Amino acid sequence: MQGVAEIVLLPLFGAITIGMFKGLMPKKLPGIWASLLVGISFLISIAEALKLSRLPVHHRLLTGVVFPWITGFGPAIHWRYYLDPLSGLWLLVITGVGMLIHVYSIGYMHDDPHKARYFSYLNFFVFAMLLLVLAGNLLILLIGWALVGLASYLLIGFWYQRPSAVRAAKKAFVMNTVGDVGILLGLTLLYLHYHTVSYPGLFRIFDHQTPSAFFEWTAFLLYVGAMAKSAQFPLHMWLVDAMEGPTPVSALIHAATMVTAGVYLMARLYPLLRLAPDVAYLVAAIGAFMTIFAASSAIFQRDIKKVLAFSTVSQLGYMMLGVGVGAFSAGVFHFMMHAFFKALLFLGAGSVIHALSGEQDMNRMGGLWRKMPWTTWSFLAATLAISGIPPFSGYFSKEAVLGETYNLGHPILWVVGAVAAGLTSFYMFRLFFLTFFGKPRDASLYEHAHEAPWIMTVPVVILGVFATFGGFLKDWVNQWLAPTFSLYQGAPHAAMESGPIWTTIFTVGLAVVAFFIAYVLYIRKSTATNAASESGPGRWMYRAWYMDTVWTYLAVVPFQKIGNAVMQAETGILATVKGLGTVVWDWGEDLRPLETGYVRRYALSMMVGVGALLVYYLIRV
Amino acid sequence: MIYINWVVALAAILFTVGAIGVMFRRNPLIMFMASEMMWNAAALVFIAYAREFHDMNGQVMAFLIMGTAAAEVGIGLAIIVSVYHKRHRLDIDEISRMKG
Amino acid sequence: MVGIGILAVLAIAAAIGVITARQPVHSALYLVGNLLSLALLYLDLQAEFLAVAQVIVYAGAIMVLFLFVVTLLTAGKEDREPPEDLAGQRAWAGIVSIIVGIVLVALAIKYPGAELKVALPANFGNLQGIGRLLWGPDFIYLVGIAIMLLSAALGVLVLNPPKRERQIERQLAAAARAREAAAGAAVPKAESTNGKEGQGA
Repeated sequence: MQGVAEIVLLPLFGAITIGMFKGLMPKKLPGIWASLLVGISFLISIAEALKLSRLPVHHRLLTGVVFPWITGFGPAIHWRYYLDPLSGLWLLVITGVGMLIHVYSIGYMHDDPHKARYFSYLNFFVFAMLLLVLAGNLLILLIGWALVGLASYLLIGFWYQRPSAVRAAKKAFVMNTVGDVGILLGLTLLYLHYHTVSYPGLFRIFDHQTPSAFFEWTAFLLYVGAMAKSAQFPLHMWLVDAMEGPTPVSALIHAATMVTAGVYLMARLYPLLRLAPDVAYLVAAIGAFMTIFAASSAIFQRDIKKVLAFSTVSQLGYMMLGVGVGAFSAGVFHFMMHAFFKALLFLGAGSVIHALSGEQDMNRMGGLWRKMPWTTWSFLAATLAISGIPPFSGYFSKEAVLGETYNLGHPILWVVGAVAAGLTSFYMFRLFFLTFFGKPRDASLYEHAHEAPWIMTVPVVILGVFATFGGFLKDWVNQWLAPTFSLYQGAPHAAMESGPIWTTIFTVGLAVVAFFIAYVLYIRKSTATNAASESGPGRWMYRAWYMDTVWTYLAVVPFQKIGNAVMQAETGILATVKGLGTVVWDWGEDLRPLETGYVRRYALSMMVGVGALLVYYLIRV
Repeated sequence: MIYINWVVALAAILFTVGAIGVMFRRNPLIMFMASEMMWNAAALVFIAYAREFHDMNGQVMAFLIMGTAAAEVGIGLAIIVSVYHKRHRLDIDEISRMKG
Repeated sequence: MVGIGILAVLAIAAAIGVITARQPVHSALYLVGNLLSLALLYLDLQAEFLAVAQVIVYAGAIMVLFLFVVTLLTAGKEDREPPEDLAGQRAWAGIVSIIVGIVLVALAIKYPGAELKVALPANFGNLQGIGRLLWGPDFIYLVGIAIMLLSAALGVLVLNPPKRERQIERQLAAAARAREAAAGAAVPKAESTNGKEGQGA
């Protein structure tokens, strides 16, 4: 319990101290303090993971009650923590990648006058995310869930003077709240039926059940939460707009950690998914759909961060696909690899943006490889990883997911995923070539471009190393996660095997072909960035299949109308209340002439009162 | 034989006369004197009942009334004098600015 | 009984004199008469100390103060009571007062008291009796009265602070001017108005 408490509370302490004392701190202190606290959390996480690994395989679980919370109203719910290999993995990724991003932010936010507030929010986010993954019951998870939503809102709208940022933050928060409600309803169903929401209790119950409609509904409601947080259709649109926040925020929250909370939830509740096969298939199907939908939109984007945002949505689709078909370890492994290369991609993009003084449009980039070598080659490593080219990390994880999809008997989903992999390779190399190679398209920006300061480059390079060699962790991760996914009887120990060899050749071959097409189009032929996206199918894909417009008409406009109607009602109520006040005032005005000011009149009225009292006494007494 | 209630009736009559004086006259000094009469009527009631119930506390109360009346007269006359200094007239109906 | 009856009649007569006297001085003297008859009544009611206190304090101090003020303020002035301004004041006051009076008298008479068969306690009504009470169980009332008198004295000082020479002269001059304005304004009222009122200030 000791280590777990410190891991979770240190970032909270950082957030509170920076928030309270930011006026008193020297300029550089918030960043260093925040990074230090997350770094210490990381070291303690490693210690805890080692402690966990020393336990016997089938008892690899550290759980306990921190303090009793809701008692006396029926079945109790306590503050429970739960550290098992799954949450341990998430813990290491959150604190490790989080620490690197904090250090990177010291450089990136160097010129920002509000960086103390930024670091306070960033630490708060790390705290909330840790609370989420170390929660021992669904209620604590929901608390962490809501808090990361809050942190996301605060950080997306960090530059709150920008109206677009404020709108994006609102959109993210509202969509996430829909997810929160889903989880709350699912949680309530479980609590009412089984009188417990803690993981040990639930897993014991799920052990001996058979699939039923109740489990389908519960799983679906909990999946709605995952849908919102992990940007699955139809609650996915906020993630693209969330790029309004600073780039390190996009890296940490909207790539590596927060958006994977949905994947965590689904993996954690894998016994429930086992009991709800229809929902599991829905998860996989929507995941597969997201991979190809987001990839199709990414190939036409011009903003570097938007490409990466769609890419994140697409990769989240892969993770959900893995979890949905039952290949839990594969999905989690893809999360881990994705954290490395996606964080790297975002941080690298951040270095580029920083070098070009805030320019994000790829139309103005090009030829940067000469000016920013470290960034370029690290970025290349990540691009190769995400495209699934062996032996980079992404190849192993994607193969695990797609292979298991095929092995477990879902050929259609496999085809979708494989085609999306090809598209992924295409748009990522498009991004890479447009940004770093070719002729510089904007001379003045190119002149002033420079390599990022070392404090930003070092985390990028470290992540590059992981992106390159991370794939070799596959067997270790498989072994590490085995206790989680086979802890209960009857759960399939999903391996991370790739499919038949022809599937691998097909996928990798598609990726290599896409690489060549991108090379030809963007290096040889110097195709414009907005080619084919002005009209026709290109335009439709560029606009993310117009889903934003549909959502606005279906959901936003009716709610605005309701809001206006409620405002009218409220104005009416206010007028009524004011009217009441006016009526009483008028009564007072009417009573005014009673105060004549003449002493003798007052004496007379007193005598009248006395007389009345006396007459009453005379009659009654 | 003394019927105490007759004495109380006398006090009632004195009280009424005093009240009439307060309500009828406009000279503040005379009004004040009439209210002094009302005080005295109350003191008389206390003393009468002290005699009836053989309880000295009634007389103590009458003593208190006397002391209070003394203090009140001091302040009241001071007020009347200062109002007179302002207006040079003794009419209580003129001091009616607290109307409304 | 006869004595009480005579004293009662005297008191009521004096009371009526107080409220009907035209001049305030007469009113004050009538009040002194009322107080004296009440003092004698107290003697009959075995309240000897209070009788003497009434004469000394009430008639001797309070009324003297009244007379000072009355003579100071109303010396040489017209004493006609101005006509009644407030509508219905006298009528209603009369009715209500008579009703209250009748009710009070009825209440007083309704419950006839009886002479107690027990003898009066020792020192009833004399100095020692009241003294024992006031300095014993009822000490707090004594202190209360003392504080009240003290605050009354302070209040008088606050309300009418002693003024310096210049202020007194200024006040006298203002008073003189006011008298002249009143005198001057009274004359043109008899004549036709010719704008003279605006000049006197």
